[in-house]
Amino acid sequence: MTGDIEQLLREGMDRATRGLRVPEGLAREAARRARQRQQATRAVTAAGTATVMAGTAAVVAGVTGAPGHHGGTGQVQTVAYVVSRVERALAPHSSQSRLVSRMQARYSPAFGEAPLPESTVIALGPPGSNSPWQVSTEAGWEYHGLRRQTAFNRAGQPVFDFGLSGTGRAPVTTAVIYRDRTWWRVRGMGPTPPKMPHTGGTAITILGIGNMRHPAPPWRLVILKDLASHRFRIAGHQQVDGVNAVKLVAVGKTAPEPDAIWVNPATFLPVRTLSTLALIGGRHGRAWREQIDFQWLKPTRASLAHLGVPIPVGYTRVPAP
Amino acid sequence: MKPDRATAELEKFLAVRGEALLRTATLLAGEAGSGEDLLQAALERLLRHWRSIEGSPEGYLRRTMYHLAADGWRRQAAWRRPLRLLQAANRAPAPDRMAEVDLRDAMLGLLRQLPARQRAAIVARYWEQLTEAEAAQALGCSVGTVKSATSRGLARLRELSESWNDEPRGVKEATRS
Repeated sequence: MTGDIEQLLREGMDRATRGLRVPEGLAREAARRARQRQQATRAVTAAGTATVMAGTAAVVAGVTGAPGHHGGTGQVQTVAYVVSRVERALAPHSSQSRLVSRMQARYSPAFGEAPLPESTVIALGPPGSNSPWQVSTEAGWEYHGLRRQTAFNRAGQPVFDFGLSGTGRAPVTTAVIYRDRTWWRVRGMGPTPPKMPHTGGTAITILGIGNMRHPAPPWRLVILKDLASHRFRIAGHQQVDGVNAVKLVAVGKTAPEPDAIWVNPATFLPVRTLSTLALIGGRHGRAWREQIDFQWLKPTRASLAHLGVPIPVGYTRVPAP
Repeated sequence: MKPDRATAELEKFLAVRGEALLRTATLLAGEAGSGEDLLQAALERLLRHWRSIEGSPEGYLRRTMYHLAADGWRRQAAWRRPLRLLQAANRAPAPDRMAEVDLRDAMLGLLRQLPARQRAAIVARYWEQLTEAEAAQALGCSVGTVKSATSRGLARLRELSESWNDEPRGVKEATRS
């Protein structure tokens, strides 16, 4: 048996990487980034000192990821400084971790999504306008181990409600399926491996395999991962939901449009993220984009009330998939 | 050596050895995009230490990639990036039927599910064909750690590949996590 898997590995790894080519300009980009990192390190050290002296939230200015230049009364910050402040704001033990996050997500184009124990499964491909699992927008709430997502189709009708409560090995998942007026609840992954629903239309493009054995991560951790996964530059300010947000744009992405994060310069919490869920057909192919607007609210009775998944009257309980 | 000259030297080197390095980086990182990022990160480190490196930079690059990968490299982006497709640009989805699993995706999908150190050990042993001692040197750990990481990685891969047989043929979808 061991021999079989070893053989499979050797052949599979060969097939998996055959034909890969080093992108043009990789060395030049590495050189540019090495220089930038060196300069940013120096600038961040200076900026950090200045911030401690000022004792106020930083004002971000400039339209470049290059090291800051000082002038006027505003404190010019580097992108490295902004990213580090966002990381601190989103850290699990930060004072802002005690806020309830509310998110509004828009997907373009729509895709198939269905609830499973501890996670949701996503399938991209021809959207399948007749698919019962077509999802175009989502509303979500998160607070510590509690999570709720309500998915809507292009017509604005609810598709499903998904709730995750508790952390550790066996969080409880609750789902309401509006199409057939049913709901289910299960602790952990349930007694049997979940069955994958056919979430797409007539054809599903294969995407790879996510980790079905771990609950979906909190959005703040997803953003932290994104921050750690890319280099960013500051691309000025934009108004997002009444906030004059700092726009951070990912550098060197292969997607048709780069990922971006808009940050509140007072709190350094993200107010919007724009990212590519998947690319099909390479750089010039089709991209599935996701825009999420965030609000960060105090944990009041009213805001916490949104975290539960209400079971509509008359709905029938069914086994989890 | 000036940075510009170092970059030019590096470009020449990559023209010859870049593909082999990228293949290893892709396996270590779990997908092509992250593999490019991993290789680029190693190149950055190489350029920062360019003056002190003697001879071919390949050994330094490989060691750096393994170290970064085995240390649970922050750039592996395990949650979102698995969704990126590695399919060829001109490969359209098959109409009216489920497309078959791309073996390229399948293998990388399996490797992605291993912890970073196990994946690095598997790549070192079964892709690079390194001995346990060589793999230990590349990963910066003991031979015993390489043995246990390889053993556990293989066991996990076996378990994962067996579970595939229980799923509908040709259907693999991605979770958000």
